Amino acid sequence: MAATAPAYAYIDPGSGSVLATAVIGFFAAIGYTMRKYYYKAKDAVSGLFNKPEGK
Amino acid sequence: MTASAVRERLLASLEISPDAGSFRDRSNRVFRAGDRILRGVSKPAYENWKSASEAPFFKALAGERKLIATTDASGEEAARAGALGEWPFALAHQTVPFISYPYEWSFSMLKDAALLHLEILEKAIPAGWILKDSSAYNVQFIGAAPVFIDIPSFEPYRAGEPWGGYRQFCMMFLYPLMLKAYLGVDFGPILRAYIDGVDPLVADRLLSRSARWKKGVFSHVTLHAKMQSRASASELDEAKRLTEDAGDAPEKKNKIRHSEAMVLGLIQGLRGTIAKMTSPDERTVWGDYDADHSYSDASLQKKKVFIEKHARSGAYRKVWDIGCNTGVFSRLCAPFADQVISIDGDAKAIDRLYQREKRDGAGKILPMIVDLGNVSPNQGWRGAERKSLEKRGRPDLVLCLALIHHIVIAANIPMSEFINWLDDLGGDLIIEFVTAEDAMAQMLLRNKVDQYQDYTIAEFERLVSARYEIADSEELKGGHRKIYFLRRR
Repeated sequence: MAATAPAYAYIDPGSGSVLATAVIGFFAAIGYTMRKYYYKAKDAVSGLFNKPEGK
Repeated sequence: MTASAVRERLLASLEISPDAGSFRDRSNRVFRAGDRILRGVSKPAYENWKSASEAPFFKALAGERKLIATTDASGEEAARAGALGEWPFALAHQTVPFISYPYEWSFSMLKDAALLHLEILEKAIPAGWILKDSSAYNVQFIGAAPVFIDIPSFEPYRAGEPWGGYRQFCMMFLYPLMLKAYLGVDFGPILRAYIDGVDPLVADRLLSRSARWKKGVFSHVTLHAKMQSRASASELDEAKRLTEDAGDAPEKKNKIRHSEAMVLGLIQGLRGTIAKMTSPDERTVWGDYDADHSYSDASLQKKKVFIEKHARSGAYRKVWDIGCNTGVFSRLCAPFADQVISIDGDAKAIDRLYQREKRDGAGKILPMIVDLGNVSPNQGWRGAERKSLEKRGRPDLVLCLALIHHIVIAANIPMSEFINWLDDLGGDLIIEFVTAEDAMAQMLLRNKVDQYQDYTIAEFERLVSARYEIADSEELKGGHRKIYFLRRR
């Protein structure tokens, strides 16, 4: 019976989701990296101007 | 006595039974031992827990009660005697007072559960851990606080691997939230039918037209569904090719490398999308929703005094307020009980109660959306994976206020049937009878063929007397309503 089972029964809907995470993830990574560097730069700049008192 | 007889006796004394809803993850299984929750775990799962629970991110989340309190129970008698079957190790979890399911949650509850899930991932991944799945059933509510319960879901994060729970997260959290936020459709009945969540293709049909420009729809719905259709088409061709004569082998697993920035970016993006979502119910003016009853202040006060008098006896640890509306009387009973389950079919009222409990509740009230004419059934694998409302606990005291006319007249359930159901729930009962002469009952009767001749105080008292003793009663609203305290016989 297995040999005559319809091919439709073997589709894994999850395969498309992995591809989707790759595409969405690619763009998300750009945003993520930019945010990360933005905050790093911001911290560095504010660190320059806000030296702890008494030092 | 033989070893097996000793084991049988121990099993009986500990009342240990495997949880019927815990079988999908092959690395562990939940057992109920009376009121306690034990989890039999494999060696790798145990080692994962040992090392994850030492990590600062895990300790911080556990400290904030965002992860269920868990201890090592491998040395306990039950585990040593093999009462947990073949599992070599055991964990003990704090018991969730009452299990609720995503199809019983309001919009804000599902939203908070989703945000908790993403917060855990966002903290776990940089520390080298990830959650292996994204089932919404892995979050439970203790009062109005969401807590993550599936501790063995933590596994080491391997750089380059995709976030394996993305699809499930979309199906169980994101799409249902979008349906409510973007289309105003309550997701409860949908999640009750699709217990594994809404498929991307279904979400695409529902959302891609009317909510096309809403945040997250293009990427997580339209694109996701397109990719799924394309992948399915190519897999269909592949399956057709794999005949015995062709002697072909299936293609290897897709090996796209997913950097940590891709995974975290995706998770942060989802968090941003979900955090901005609001329910259309929240956007309407709440105004006097709490005062949405037909009582004068004096009558309402009389009703409150009656309820408080009987609820405060101290005998009632578990109270169910069925037809609770925004939970005014649940809150009245909460100080005297350990737990109040507040049930109503009105999603808006339950969301309102949840928001309020989140703000200033004492963690005793669990709000749930349940249609009382069609309460959550046993369902899932073998009809046991998700339990009916009644199978998850029993009340000591039931509040049933201004509800009976909705059940008998609006939902057309005979009064005797309803009283039988209340009796089956167990516990004593504070019930308010709304006569057919009451203005609110008159509204329900307006467009109905009047087939409710037996809907009278006399018939009500006759029916309840068979099962309860009428310990106290008082007329309200000039005799149009009557409230009873019924003690189980």
